[in-house]
Amino acid sequence: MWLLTLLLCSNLTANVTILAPNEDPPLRPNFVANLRTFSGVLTTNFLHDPASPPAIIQLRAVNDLGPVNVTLDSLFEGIFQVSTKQATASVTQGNASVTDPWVPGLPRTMQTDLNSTERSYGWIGWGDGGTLWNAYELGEVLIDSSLAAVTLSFLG
Amino acid sequence: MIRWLHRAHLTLTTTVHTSQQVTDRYIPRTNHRDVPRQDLSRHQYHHGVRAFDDIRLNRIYLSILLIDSPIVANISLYNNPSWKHPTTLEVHTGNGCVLASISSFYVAFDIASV
Repeated sequence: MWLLTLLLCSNLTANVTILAPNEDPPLRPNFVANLRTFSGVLTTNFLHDPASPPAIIQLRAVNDLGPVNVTLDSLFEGIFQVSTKQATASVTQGNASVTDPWVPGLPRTMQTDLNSTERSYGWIGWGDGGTLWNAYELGEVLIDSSLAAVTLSFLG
Repeated sequence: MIRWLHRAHLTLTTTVHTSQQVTDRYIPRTNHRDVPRQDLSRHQYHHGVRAFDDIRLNRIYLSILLIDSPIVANISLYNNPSWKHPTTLEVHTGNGCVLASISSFYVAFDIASV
């Protein structure tokens, strides 16, 4: 098995820039992305174009026997979940500060509902996150792997 | 500087098995005329890239599907709020479901042996 693992290594790197000129908070996802590889390094970042207001992103990054590194900028708002097996799952938030473009004055916060070694999930966005959400209007990032670390980094 | 063209503008760089560098520019069609030469057209595969643009449903799918090959993709996506559907991106490589199943079995075995 390990011989196969060493021979078959498929790194996947996707640098994605998104632009959705929403004039109001969108009522549906703007972008749906599914990334998958196996036994390689999966690295991706989703960054808004400077001309783009916040867009709703639903991202799923799945790997096996390889690490996953996902970076989202400070305009992402929604729920997140990172999980792996026999390795570490981590979520970090940078210090880039952006006020809510739709409701100025709301602070940006990250709430972690579960933070264990192999799994973490929560919400990031503006305000307290306690509002009842329509799932279709909510950003979402899901990351999963096994036997390798997974990392989700928010720039702010 | 990114130039946004029509509905979406994808600049893709893929590295295939032999480390041969392949660069493609994909501009999905926006109507039935003035289709760019680079348009990959519906359902056409090119270097593992599948482009699907359904005018009637106002959807755009961009798929990059390779097997056991590293991928480096720099992608710019556009979505118009007036559209009914999201812009969808798929990027897959790796070794398919068979080895993924093997890995799942291995994980189960590993946990059981702890």
